[in-house]
Amino acid sequence: MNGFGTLFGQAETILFLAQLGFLFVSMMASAFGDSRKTGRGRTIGVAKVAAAVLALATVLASTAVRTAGAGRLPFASMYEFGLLLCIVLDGLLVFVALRYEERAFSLSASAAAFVLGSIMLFFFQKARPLAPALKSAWLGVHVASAVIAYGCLALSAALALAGLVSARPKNTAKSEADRTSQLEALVNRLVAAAFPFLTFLILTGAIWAEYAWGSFWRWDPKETWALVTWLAYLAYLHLTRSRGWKGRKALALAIAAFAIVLFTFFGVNLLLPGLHSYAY
Amino acid sequence: MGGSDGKSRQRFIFMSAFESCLRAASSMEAGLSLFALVACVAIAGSLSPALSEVIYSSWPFEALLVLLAANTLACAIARRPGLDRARKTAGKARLRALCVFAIHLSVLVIAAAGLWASLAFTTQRIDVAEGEAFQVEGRSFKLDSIGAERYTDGSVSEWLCRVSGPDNEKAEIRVNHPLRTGDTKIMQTGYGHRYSLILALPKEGVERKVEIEEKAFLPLAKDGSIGIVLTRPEAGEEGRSVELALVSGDKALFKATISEGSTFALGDTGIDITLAESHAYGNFILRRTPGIAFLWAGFALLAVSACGLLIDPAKAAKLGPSQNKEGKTT
Repeated sequence: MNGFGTLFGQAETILFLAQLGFLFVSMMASAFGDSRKTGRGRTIGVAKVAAAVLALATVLASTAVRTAGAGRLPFASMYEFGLLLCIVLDGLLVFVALRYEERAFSLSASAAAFVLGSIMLFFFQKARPLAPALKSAWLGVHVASAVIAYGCLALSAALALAGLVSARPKNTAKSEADRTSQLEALVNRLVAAAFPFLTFLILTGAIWAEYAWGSFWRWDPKETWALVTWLAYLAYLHLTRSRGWKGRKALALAIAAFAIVLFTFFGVNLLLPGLHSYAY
Repeated sequence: MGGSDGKSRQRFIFMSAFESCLRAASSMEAGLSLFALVACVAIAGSLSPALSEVIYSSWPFEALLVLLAANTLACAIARRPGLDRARKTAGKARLRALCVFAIHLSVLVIAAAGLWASLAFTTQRIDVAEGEAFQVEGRSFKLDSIGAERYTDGSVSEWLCRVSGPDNEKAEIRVNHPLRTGDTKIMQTGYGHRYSLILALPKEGVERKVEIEEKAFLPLAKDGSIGIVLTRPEAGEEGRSVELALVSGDKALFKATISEGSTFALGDTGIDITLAESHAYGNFILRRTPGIAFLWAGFALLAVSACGLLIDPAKAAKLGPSQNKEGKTT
């Protein structure tokens, strides 16, 4: 790689690490802050939001540097997918930090973004030219759908986990009940928002497969697991909206469904050989 | 009278049983159980390529998919998900409820079109050498050239086949960009080289012409313990020269590059090898999928109706013009 390439690579990595730093600050501010709007509480609240905004800005900058260095949009590898996922999660963190005062909300969002970003560091690889199989107009729509869906689902699982961990069955205080129901509602809305994108993900993948492989569906491991994920969230939506599943059951189901997302994203790429191997 | 009563009673029992069956078949419990079953079997099939071949083409798995479609159909007819709610609400809530019904409908359209396409499609695989002609729907095409475009680092940026049509019109077939002629799509699936070699034992005056595919093993000994493998260079003069390796087991005893028309003495084996000819060839799939328009329609309906889920149910209920602040329909 030439001098410019090395410079791009270093700048990209530094910006990504800076994002993790800001996420850590936001996470700490969420963990140790409180909802008071004066004095120390207000300062920590401002720090939490500022750190979230800076995390989003730095990951956007890191993506821009990678795009400029590679001469194409970062849609081609697992690391690049993770980079885009960080953008969505950081964006959601900013939204949550601004919209909800409850610290469990922004703590979950910042923790999800921080953990995911840290994991993606292990998958870092230099930008490569686009393989012929990835040269398609469907690549952008397919990957964007996946990134938005997985970002929303990651946050829903983090919030569900926070809800399960903090739920005290005997605590019937009104504020606690309000907080839990607000959290459950947000988890449900995030899944409902992600579901159309999960659907687009499968549809665009099927259409692309028809052009590339000559059939809409080939039961490739990635396709299969994407379908399993879709069915899991379809079950979640049916059970919560039509069968009235609430509380711990609904939260546990959201976490279990996200475990399938994690396997679809990491497990299939690392463990199961298939037609999507060029995306690793 | 008694006979008439008996018939009415029989009809009543039959209708009751039919309704019970329909209710059970259309129930969400049945649907959720089928989701779980399909997911479990699909997961099992994804664990190894051998398992996937056994499971996904087996009749029990296909029967499960048919049952899932039947459950969705029964649900759409018997319970009309979303429609009853749509009648009672207005504005965004109504739109959302209609989208829920449309999602069920689109799954049925996709299932029906997919079934039609999977029963009626035709696939033909062909290997065509550079310069050779081939027929599609009675029309003659010629494969003019096969090649690879490369990035500056040497990696392949595009596999490219140039073809001439019946009226000598030029077209390209690339990965993700099939050529469409009539109802048939011509898709490029692979690319390789075939070599004609002349093996000679000059001392014994023996000569033999053999055809060998790129990367295939050509045994030289009767027990197959030693042989040659030809590999095309990654970049450069593709097809004009080839790397020849004398192989024993997994070990390459030596390697050499030979070019078209040249003769090479294979170590101290006494065998002379001449690369007489090299042909590039492309692997293509010719595919016709009837009913594909219905599949596209199902996809479009599913994509549009899935967007309805983005309408927040709580907000939609508040925004409904026919509801008052307490949420009561006026």
